[in-house]
Amino acid sequence: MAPNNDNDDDTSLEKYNVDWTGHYRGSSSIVVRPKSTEEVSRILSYCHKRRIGVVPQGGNTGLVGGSVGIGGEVILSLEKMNNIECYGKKDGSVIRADAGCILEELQNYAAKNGNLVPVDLGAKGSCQIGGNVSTNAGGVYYYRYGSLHANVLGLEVVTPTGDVLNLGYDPVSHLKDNTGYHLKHLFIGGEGTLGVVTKVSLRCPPLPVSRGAMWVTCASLSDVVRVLTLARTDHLNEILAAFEFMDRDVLELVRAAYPSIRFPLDIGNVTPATTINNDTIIDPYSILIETHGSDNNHDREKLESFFECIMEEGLVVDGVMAQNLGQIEDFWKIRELCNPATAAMGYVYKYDISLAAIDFDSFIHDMKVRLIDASHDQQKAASSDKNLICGNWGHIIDGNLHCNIVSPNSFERDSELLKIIDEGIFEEVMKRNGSISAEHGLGQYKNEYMTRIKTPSTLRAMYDIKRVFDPHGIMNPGKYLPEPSAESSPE
Amino acid sequence: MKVLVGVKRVVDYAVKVNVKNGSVNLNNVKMSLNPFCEIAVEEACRLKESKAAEEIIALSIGPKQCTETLRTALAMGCDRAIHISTDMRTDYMELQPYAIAKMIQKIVDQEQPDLVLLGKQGIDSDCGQTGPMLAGFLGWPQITFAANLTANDDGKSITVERETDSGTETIDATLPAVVTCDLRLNEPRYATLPNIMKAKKKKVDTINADDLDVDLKTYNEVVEVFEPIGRKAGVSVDNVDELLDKLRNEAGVIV
Ligand SMILES: Cc1cc2nc3c(=O)[nH]c(=O)nc-3n(C[C@H](O)[C@H](O)[C@H](O)COP(=O)(O)OP(=O)(O)OC[C@H]3O[C@@H](n4cnc5c(N)ncnc54)[C@H](O)[C@@H]3O)c2cc1C
Repeated sequence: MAPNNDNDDDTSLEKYNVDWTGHYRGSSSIVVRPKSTEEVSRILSYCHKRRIGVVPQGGNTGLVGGSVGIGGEVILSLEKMNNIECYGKKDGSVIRADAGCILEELQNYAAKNGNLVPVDLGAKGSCQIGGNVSTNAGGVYYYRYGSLHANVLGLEVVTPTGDVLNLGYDPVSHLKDNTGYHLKHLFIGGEGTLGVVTKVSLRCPPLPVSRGAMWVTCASLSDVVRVLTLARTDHLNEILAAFEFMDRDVLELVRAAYPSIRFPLDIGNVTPATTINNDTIIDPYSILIETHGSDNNHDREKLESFFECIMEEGLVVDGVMAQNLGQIEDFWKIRELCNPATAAMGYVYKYDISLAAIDFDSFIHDMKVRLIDASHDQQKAASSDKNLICGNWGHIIDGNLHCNIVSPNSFERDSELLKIIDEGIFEEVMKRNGSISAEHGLGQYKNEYMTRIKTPSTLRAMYDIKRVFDPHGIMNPGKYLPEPSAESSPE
Repeated sequence: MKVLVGVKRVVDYAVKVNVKNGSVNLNNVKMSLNPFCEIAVEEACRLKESKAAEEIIALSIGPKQCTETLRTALAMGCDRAIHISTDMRTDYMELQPYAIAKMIQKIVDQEQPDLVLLGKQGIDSDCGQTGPMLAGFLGWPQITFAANLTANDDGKSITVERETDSGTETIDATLPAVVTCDLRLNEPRYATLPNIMKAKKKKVDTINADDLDVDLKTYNEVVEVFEPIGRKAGVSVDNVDELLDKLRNEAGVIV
């Protein structure tokens, strides 16, 4: 290959060919790790001329098989492009960085200067800001700080022909700039199908001076929704930063996968290992609420009076409030283990959907009924006795549900079952006017749904855009957009 | 038995402190219960739950916001609290262990506890002197760095394990005694919201530090406070000879 890449550290291709879930595997024999925009440009124009497929890869934590090849595409890893360039503003409220910067490193850098990176998610230790932008990642503070469409001020991207586009990635990083088409938005959530994002500038709010958190449990999802409404409106309002829910099924998986983890509401909160052997019963729903504000006393008072209110209304079973910052991290630790815990326990049929919060309950119920039916059919077929577990959690304040169906102790995908579950999810989501992908995107997993959820003219416009940037279709082939059908394909 | 627990209000251990005007900047910084005091509170609560203790009194010395810190201790299970109110800094800049221990002694005289549980040190000043000084003033047995504590059935003594460099020491002491708590003693509980609500109704007595008739003077002068100098990046060496050369000629640690 043209660009010179040192074969320093890890030269094994395995980690580039398998995604985080382990469900998707490519067979690439070439990985390039450019160190500059210039090198990215040379790689892309080379591949463009020779019509070689390219898969841009960030931290490889995407959950829809977007970051690994389908066949033998070239993998273009951004991991060597990880400079945090400088600030776009003297007060540090705008951060400029290479696409390959690990999110957590960016967060730490911003924090040192009193700022908060407005995106945060469980994969922060591995995912890259370029990957976050390319998947339009949502995360836990979406409600408070808004989407990446709102917070990305500028991008530098390289298109497949090797052209470098500056889309508002300016040294001065204007907060306001209304000149021309805002092309950056096509690359935010473009999943590497239009080009490679090489640099990102982001607006960063000040770090909250005061952070508070509580963990409460509810007996029903309708109580959770009522607590959510009260938190959002009358009680926590302007200090509310995150509101996450987890059901008992997923927390039981967390407990099984990580027996030494202490749950906030374990009786007397004694270390489980030394005492009651994990048999404390987990309440049906747990909620993690975080506040960001500027005055610790004020926020604490608000949290306490909020709790008094939801207690009086009989909406909560129990709750704890973090007394220091370490306890806030302890709460998040449990929330962040939901994803890895399901993955540790078996094969995960993974869904990430948008619904009105009030519809979560009936959705989960109807899915569980479908699963029971499916397991019965399965048992007849394979005489296995495994019961599927449906664990649910998510950013309920955004109407975002992570529905994860786990086949315990079996790590193989069952394609019959997959079809049944896929179809079930699709029908239940459509019935409720939801979205089949709230934040994980399409990749190679959900792209074929596009013909069922977008009108032909909308899809045609998308193919047109794809053709403008990527006429030979070398970028992330076989993903995002469905294979064109006769009627939707151009010409 | 009756237990008195020290509850120090310090900068939260997760906060990255900065220095301003010659001392750690406390302005609008998250303050929390000193982690070692939290362990002391937890141990007291366990003594009460096992019926070895009847009453737990939490004691804090500092500004009026100490009542918040005391509320945490009350929510964890202490029965009532005493706040010695002062505007002097408690992170060694003004009030120092000698004066603190003297004040605690006054409360001990007044409350007559059988056991005083303190953290092994405050994470702000890291002195670790208050417990030993207090024991000295009182003429009581002291056991520092407790890693395990058992109240004996006779109701008059305790058995404490402490971790030392050469192994675990087991000490029997007759009450009254002063014990300072180390990290491995227990894992403190979370404050449940119902208990936080109940804690609001528990009694907190406030005493003015100036009314205690204790010498509050700052005897040790703090010469300078500065932020730790960032660690320099390491270097890799290619071979042993180069390593020896650097150790000899650059670091000067071998001859
Ligand atoms: C534990 C865990 C928790 C998660 N939580 C959330 C969550 O709360 N919210 C959420 O939205 N998502 C979440 N995700 C999924 C999320 O999409 C990713 O974690 C993250 O945004 C992807 O970043 P990455 O660098 O790993 O990208 P990758 O996985 O490497 O790539 C993702 C896609 O972007 C493309 N891409 C990557 N980098 C570039 C680039 N520089 N230019 C062009 N295209 C590029 C890839 O081709 C691929 O299509 C989670 C994932 C995990 C494993």
